[in-house]
Amino acid sequence: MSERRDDLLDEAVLRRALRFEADERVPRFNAGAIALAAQSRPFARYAAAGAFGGAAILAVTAWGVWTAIFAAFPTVADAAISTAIDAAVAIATLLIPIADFAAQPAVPLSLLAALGVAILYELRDRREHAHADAS
Amino acid sequence: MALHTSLSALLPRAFARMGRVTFADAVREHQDELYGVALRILGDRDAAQDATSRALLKAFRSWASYDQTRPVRHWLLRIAANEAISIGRERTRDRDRRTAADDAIEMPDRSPLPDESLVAREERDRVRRAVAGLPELYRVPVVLRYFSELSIEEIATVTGRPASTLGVQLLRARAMLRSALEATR
Repeated sequence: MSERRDDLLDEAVLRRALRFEADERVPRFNAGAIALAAQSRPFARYAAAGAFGGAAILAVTAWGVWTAIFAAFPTVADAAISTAIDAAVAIATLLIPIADFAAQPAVPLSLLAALGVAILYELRDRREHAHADAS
Repeated sequence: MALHTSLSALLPRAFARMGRVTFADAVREHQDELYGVALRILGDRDAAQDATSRALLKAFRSWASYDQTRPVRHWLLRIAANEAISIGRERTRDRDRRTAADDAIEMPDRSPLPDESLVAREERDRVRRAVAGLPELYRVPVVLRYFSELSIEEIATVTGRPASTLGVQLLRARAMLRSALEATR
């Protein structure tokens, strides 16, 4: 604590400056409205849970359908798998040059990582703003 | 939990009879101070109102789990200060808007004032501008100490910082404020 008393702003001055004055309007907050606003949130949770459950049911159904097709029409299933593998190879062929580009010393990975983080941050920020506007 | 908290908000008298502090009571009793703390930290009315709303919403959601043997005031102040800090950080990204210091001096009453009041108001605005310009580390304890009138130990409870550190931070803050005010004279 190297500050001398003369170097400090007087506490009474600070108190006077920070306290509410008669000409300062203070908004009213309604507990009931806050309670209602808070209750509207669980709907989003239910929606998320419903979406998750729906996705799970869809996945199980798709798996069942696929198993049935594979059992009934083995050749069709083979063709579908071959097509999927070809598509994966095609995508990999596209991605390899991009990965090579990213591996170039002239393109620092930190720059790409920073770009990714910035995009994620911006998306999150927009979502928060949208949420704040809605609430 | 949601049922209890919403009932306590909607039916405060019934819960008060059970000897529990209701959320509605807490809001009624502390809303001015929470808004004031947010306003002095942020220096902007809209942002302070937003911070207070968010703080009260968070408090409502955590009301059932809050330990009622501890002072509700400190708990609410902690939430409000954290929300204000959070909003302040968000706002630093939008520096194109009016500065916090400018907002801090905006007053709704534009009626002419006697010279003495005018001088006092200018002095008050200068101090508020200086407080709004303090780094966040110092601004929060200054507001809690000189607006909310909390003791160092209480500020330590609210902020989670050691009391000894807070003592030093308050001294440094006052020194910084003095320098800032002398620089603007």
